[in-house]
Amino acid sequence: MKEFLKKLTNDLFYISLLTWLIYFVVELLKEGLVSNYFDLNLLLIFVVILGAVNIFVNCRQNDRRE
Amino acid sequence: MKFYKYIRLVLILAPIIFLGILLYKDLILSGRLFVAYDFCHSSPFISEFSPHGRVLDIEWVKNNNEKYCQQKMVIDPVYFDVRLPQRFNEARLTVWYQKNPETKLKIGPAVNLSAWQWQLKDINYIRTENNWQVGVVDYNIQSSKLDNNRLRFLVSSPGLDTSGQSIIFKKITIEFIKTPIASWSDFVGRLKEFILFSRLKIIFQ
Repeated sequence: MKEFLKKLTNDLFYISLLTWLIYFVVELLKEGLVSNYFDLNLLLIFVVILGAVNIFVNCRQNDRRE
Repeated sequence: MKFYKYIRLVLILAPIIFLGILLYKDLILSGRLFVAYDFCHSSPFISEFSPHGRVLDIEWVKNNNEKYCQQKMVIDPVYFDVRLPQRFNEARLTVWYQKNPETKLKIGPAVNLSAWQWQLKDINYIRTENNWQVGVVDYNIQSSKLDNNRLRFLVSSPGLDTSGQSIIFKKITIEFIKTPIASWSDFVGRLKEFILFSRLKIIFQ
């Protein structure tokens, strides 16, 4: 279960970060395509929180191993 | 954890499907876009009234069981912009307002901003809703020049400042209409127009 949560957190972080980057570029190319229907800042907040959780869950484990 | 690959697949597919839905919504295959601004919450399509000073601060009103926002226009003219995802042929504007019968009210989109040409029309009063007058106007916006994908509207009431009157606005809705997609060639045309409205327009230039 612990391993599952670690993997899930890691994947969620990278996928949401990549999603935010792609949506940001799409919004730059076609203004309003994303922002007319969805607030990108919400996704950015989600990415930042997931990033912090990911550091806590995965990186601390790696430090202990070293 | 054999099932984890399926979870990963869902995590990857979800944002792709969501982007597809956004594209579908932005293409407006039905040919109808309905936008609204209620003065309480900012709208991604319709901007706030400007310049400030000609319109007073937005007021939050709690009246009996009804909560709403309103804004007073005290000096003419004021403007608002509508950010459009593509070109449209017609626009039907509905406005909820309060004013004296002798106070004139005209609203219209810009035809050519650089030439300061506007398509101003009187608001056609249609009914009263909870002390609010509701008016409708139809515009042909085929020839309107957009400024950075934005259609600017002018709200005019000549002599408003000298008369000491004001016009209170509660809500604005605009329905943009164009021909719906009926065939594959329509879709290709719409897609081309969609790209022309984006920064990818250099492909066709």
